[in-house]
Amino acid sequence: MSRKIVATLFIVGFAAVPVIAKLLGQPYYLTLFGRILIYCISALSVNLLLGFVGLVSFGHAMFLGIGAYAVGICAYYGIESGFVQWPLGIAAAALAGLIVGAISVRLTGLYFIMITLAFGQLFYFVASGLTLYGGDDGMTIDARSGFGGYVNLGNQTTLYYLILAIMLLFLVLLHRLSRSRLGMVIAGIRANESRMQALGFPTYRYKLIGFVISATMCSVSGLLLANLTDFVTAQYMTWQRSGEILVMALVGGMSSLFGPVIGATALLLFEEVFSAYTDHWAVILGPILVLIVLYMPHGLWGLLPDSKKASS
Amino acid sequence: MKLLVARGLTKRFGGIVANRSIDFDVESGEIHAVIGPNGAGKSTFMAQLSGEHLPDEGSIVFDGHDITRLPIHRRAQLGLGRCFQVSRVFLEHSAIENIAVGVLARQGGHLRAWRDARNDAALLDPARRILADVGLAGREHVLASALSHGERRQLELAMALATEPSLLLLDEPMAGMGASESRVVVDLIAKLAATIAVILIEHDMEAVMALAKRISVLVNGQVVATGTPSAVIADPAVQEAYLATDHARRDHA
Amino acid sequence: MTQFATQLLNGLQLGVALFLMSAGLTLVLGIMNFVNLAHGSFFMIAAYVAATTYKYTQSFVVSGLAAVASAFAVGVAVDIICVRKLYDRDHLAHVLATFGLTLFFNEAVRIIWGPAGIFAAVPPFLAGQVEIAPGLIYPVYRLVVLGVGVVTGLGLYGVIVKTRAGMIVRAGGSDRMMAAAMGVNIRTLSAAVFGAGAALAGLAGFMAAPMVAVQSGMGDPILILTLVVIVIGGIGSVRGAVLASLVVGVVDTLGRVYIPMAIGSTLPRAVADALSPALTSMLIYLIMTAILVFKPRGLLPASTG
Repeated sequence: MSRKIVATLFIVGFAAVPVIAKLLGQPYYLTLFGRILIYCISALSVNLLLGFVGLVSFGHAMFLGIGAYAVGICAYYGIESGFVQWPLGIAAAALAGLIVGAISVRLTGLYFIMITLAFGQLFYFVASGLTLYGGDDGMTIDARSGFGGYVNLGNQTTLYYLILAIMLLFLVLLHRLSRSRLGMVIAGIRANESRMQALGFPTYRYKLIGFVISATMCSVSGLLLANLTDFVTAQYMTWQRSGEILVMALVGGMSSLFGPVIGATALLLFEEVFSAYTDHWAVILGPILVLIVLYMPHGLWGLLPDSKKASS
Repeated sequence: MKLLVARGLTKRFGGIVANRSIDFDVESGEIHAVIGPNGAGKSTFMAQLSGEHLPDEGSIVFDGHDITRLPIHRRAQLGLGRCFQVSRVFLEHSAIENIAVGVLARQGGHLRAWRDARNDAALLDPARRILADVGLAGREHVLASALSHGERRQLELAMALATEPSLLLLDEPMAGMGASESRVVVDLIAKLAATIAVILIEHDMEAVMALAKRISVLVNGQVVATGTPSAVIADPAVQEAYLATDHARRDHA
Repeated sequence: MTQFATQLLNGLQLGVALFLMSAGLTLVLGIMNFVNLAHGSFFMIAAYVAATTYKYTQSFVVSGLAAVASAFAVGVAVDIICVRKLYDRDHLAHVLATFGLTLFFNEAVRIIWGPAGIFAAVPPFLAGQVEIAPGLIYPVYRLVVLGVGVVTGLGLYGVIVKTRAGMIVRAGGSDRMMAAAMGVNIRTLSAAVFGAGAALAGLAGFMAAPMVAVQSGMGDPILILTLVVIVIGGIGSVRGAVLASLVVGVVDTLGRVYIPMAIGSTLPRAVADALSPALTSMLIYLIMTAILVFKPRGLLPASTG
């Protein structure tokens, strides 16, 4: 089973969900798979930083939170237009990414993990303290982002297809990025930063660019999550959430484009399926993660043969 | 025309003075070799020129620019190329992809995020030419990890050349190479010197004598002699310094 | 003044708990270069075992021994079963694997003890308060915790600096290959260090049990604080862990008391209410960020090569 076939099957499967949901009379599937797709986006954004730039961010949930709160806070003040909320959320995340990245990207390894964790906590505590907007208990969002009649996100199926479309769009953008000039530079920095500097590349600048792109992508998943769940809470930004997104990218396989999609889907489906049988599904998932680390260093995606040459 | 002039370069690490007041210069089209016993401070000197260490005292002027405190990438952009003692090539990429990165460094357009660069003739054609220049024609699509030690040195050289430097810092390019491999690299460096200035750190005295127009001898962090190869070899101070360190090593052994 | 002294003591006591947690973690990180996110689980397991053992034996000492022993046993088991296979892998693999272990342990305690937390009692002979200085009344139990922490710290110092075992541990840190070449059994060393770290965490958990809620996930916030302490102190440095634990413990405790007071008196009520929990929680992260920017190797970096 080659990777291309499996990837195609996944996408076809996702596209078929609303149809199957309707046939089986299970609208819940739309919410479940919508959530899975949203976390695919988050995992893709973390993987941009991880597999591509080579940095492990333990605070990415903060950007998801910024996107979600952009929708929530605007709605709180009666601003329900997506044309205002979404650009605002994305711009805010880009700015936050610029500030956080400018400080963090100077560090490497464990120190980078810790400082992104610290910033993530910072944002979490601020959000948690904003009891006006719900804090940890959260805030219901009365209406979904309005797009002036062009797209009605109130329709669950429409929202689902929008999420799928955005995820596919990001896959395409990431694919183009990896093969572009900018992509070559970033990959080179990950492979050997000192070599790149000796060739004349200002590596700090490119790592920062990668960080900001990653942050912005993650905020989009937040915009979508707020719409899907009609809810926003500081709990979206905990370090455990950041850890889960990281785990999704790792389980799927960080050195590939499609890996995070596999990882996010596998993890969330596992949780969903097993929680139907037992409350204690985590006691099975934990050891499975350990086994994956021990015996599948390239994640689940790494189990499938890669028809392309390793270097292309 | 003096391309690079270093004056009074001094670097201390804790209580140790690794480089003491070094004066050094190199002209365009010249190969100026630096030799000396182990621990003389050659690597530290190289690091100060490339930008890995900032000098405690002294100055470096390169092509009219004061680069004393410039970061590594700025020096590279001004035309200062570098080859590392342990080859730093991108192991998971093919030979031509490696060189293409160097070509990209020179060409710019780094922020283009959409167009396919992997099949871009603007990058691959110059890369292919450089590949042939260093003698790796036909090894285009071989992964760097699969190249022999000597071939990897050639690749390292090719990457540095792709940025079209005016001065090349070569850190022990012959290290770990057999006789025939060394000859290939020596010929390559000799060919380069027509257009590029080279600062060469080497232990292989045969290569140094064949290539260098001038030699500086570094002992205990200081330059004890500078001159043409024959003059330096005959210099009693140099002989004493080498012998003295030789004796010291033997006494402590 | 007495309030300040009381809070200072509370801060030192938090510092002691953090020291017990961070000493083990920094050693494992510095010596084995292993990032152990499951360290909080040892803390949690010990707290549960302590509470349950006390319920059945009514003996403080026995429950303490059981708690530390169980943490040690779990630590060694974890090392043998999976951690030692990961020493040669990168930090990412460590993060993922230990994340999985944390999930497992958090759920396992729920299965064994139920989803609600359990109650750990302060033993009667340690209950009550004592007047340690004129006007300064302080709970006996907390003083005992302080004492245990100081004694343990001194003991640890003695072992690492003055004994052959400690020398081996330090050698293992600077160069595992050399240590192995000199005949040190690296496997035994790693199990011992990992187990000892877990035991220290277990001691912290045992002492903390009567003071905090013993429930699933209780180790997670402690783990984060511990990581912060280690970064501030310097990875691999036990002296750094001592200093940083005390700094973090005191600053965090005093901050939670005095920052709301300071903000409440200068800013309008609504703003103060929103800002102060965020600021107090953020304080130590701000300190850590400052350290990472200005002294990235920590306050007292380990001197190993």
